[in-house]
Amino acid sequence: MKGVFALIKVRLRYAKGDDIKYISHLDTLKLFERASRRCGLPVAYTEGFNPRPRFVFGNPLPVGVTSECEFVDIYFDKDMDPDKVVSDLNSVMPKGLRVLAGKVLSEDADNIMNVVSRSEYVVKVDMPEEDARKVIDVYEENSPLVIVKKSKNREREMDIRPMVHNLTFKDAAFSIVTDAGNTSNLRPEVAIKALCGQVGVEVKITGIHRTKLF
Amino acid sequence: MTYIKDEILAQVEKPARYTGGEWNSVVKDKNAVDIRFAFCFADVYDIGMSHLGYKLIYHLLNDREDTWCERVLAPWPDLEEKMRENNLSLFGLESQEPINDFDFIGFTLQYEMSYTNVVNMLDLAGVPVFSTDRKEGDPFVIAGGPSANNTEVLADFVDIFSLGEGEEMLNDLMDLYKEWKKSKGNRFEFLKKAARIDGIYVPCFYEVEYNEDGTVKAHKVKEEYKDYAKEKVVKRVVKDFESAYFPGKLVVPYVNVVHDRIMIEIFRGCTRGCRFCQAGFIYRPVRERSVEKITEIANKLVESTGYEEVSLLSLSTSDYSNLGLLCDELLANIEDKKVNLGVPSLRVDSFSLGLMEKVSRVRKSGLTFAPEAGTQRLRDVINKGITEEDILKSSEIAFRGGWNNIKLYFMLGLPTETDEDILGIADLAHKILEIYKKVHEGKRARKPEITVSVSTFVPKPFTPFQWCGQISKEEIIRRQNLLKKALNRKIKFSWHDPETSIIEAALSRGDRRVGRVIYNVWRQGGRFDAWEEYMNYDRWICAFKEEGLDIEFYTERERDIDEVLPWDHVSVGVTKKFLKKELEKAKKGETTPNCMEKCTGCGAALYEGGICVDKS
Repeated sequence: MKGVFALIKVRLRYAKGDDIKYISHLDTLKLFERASRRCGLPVAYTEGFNPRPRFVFGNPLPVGVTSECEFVDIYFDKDMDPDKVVSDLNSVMPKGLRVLAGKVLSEDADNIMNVVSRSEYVVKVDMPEEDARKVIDVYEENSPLVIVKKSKNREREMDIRPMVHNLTFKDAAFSIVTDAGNTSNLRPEVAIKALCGQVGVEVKITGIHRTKLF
Repeated sequence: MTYIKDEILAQVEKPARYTGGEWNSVVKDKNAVDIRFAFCFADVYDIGMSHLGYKLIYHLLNDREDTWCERVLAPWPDLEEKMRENNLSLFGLESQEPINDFDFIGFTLQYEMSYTNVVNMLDLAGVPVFSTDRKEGDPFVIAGGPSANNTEVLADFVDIFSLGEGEEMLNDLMDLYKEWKKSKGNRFEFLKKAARIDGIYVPCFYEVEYNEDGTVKAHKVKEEYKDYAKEKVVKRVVKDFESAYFPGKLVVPYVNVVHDRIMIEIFRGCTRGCRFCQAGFIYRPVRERSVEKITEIANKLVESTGYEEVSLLSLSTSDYSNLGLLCDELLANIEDKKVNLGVPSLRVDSFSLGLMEKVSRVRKSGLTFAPEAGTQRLRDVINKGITEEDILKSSEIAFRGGWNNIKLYFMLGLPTETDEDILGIADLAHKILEIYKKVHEGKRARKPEITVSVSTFVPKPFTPFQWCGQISKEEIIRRQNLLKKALNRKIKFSWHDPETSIIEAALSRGDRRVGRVIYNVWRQGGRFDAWEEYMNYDRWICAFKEEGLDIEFYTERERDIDEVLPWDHVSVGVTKKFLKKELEKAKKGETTPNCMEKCTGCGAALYEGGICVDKS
């Protein structure tokens, strides 16, 4: 990783809005690569036969989910003004993608994938408030919440309750904190659907928005 | 806001195909334009957005201040089902609005197997499928592209055909439309004026008479339209290709599409005249762009799109007059931006292998050869200017250069083909295998990967083989099996589905009556026939029967040389006389020199452009 020259690492926080919420994680990487070329950002490239621009992205955002706290680390060969990186990129980004802030990190700062362990979401639902209250009650009982997880050719049961860290309800939306990252990851709608199943109420999810990574 | 709501999008594959908003896509104020143009590609997004021509015309129309052109692609069957369930209609990607009140619905026809999708898209749009059912206020349905040259098969569905290259013709048509719209004229008046534009064909002004044996007796202008409609419609070309329109930007899709890169057309047309190849005749005359122009376009597009690859586009890259210089110039301009250069369709020789080493960062993927036929005799018949010696020498160069992966393309069922020609394919493949062994004798080498891939010959209009019959399904299968048995097991063999080739043949050379068959198949659920998983052969066979037509009349029958062909009212520049002469020469196994060596008087010189001028 370390060459003769120290690389400059800029960490960007960006938002994905409704307009591009169906763009997958991989397509978002491509979008950043192409946007950087459009605005002429001097991104560092990997060595080797097939050089790639050096981006390190945070935890993938599921397709269909919006967010105001996505992260990417971009490496540069020279000093960069993070505010200029932000404004340059924003000038060539499609509608729906906004870079919100940037800061320079030391090269040995831990990469974004390793610093994140939990994520907060707002999940908009279409369900009677009464039912939602029941869901909160069941959540607060702290009893096991078992789902059946299907992998390639087997099914196994799994208690996901330890992966859910906070759940509240306000204005027809749940606010929920779940595991996010390399070691443990839980999609918020899976937790909410499982809880509703446990209570025995119907739920229709009308939107998911990521509000925080920590 | 997307036209298709979240709850539906969440249930379909790749929802980003339908949400628009891509970089360089064009959004305008609908109240500030005179013309709204729904530009349709009758296949899924991933395919349509891979076509340079589709993007080119899109930007061309949007460069006009008075026009807003939107992309419309065929919804994949998973979405179509939901759209029909919820009474949703076909919509434009840019405005996310239904297209039924647009001024134009235009189709680019790239292959015949997309025709059921054309009908389906009109229906999904809520526009009357048949031209005769359209009323004042309905959009005009217009079609162009290579398959449009045989106008008749879709004549019942299309109001206006634009034949040849659209760059200038579409501007003429839009200018006319704007004027007509201001004059508050009726539909019929517009069609009359449109029919006068060069390259425009309005099918409802013509009538077709048939002989008792089912062949065309006459295709002529109806008496009352003699003043507007032309007897013969001559395709349009852009005479000065150097300064022909090329957009300064291209839409950059979010989702992976088949060809996701900058493509630059380095020349149009092909000098080679292989007798089975429609593209080789309909795009004449050959016209090149200069190194400077191509470099200028490349620089502009790298900047405006951010793409990581520039790829040269043409029918035969090696025939560009100064390919070495072009690649050097391009590399000098784009390499420091970490942009790759792709040079496809190269003839394999030592020059091109050196070039490939230079331009490609990727691993040595594989080389392709297209000898098309297994013996010299048959290669001469099809005028494929390539000898066995060429192929063997090229293979040796490739093997010595470290390649171990070669793919060979052939066609089965070419006119005059015998079993000997088919066994010749196996012989050729075996000789290549032997060369590999010889090159690596005594050394440890990777296993060679030699693939023989065969398609089935489909006779196409405007080629010297337009009169020839296609072999029957049983015969295709027999010949495929003959080859399969003759091939060494070390050689990989792949073949095309015979049924698709048969339907393609019927549609390629169909007459006006075949439109009913397409409609019938569509009514029975036919969609995405270009996709093997959706093509249903029995449905097509059944539809031909139900419409009282014999599919073999269109596929297997050899046409009489003096028969009126359903596309005789169209001229692509190359004359019927020349094609007849080429057929005669084919039968005798005589070859014809390519345009670079000598002008053979095909007729394309009437356009006074490109190689026809340079070589005279």
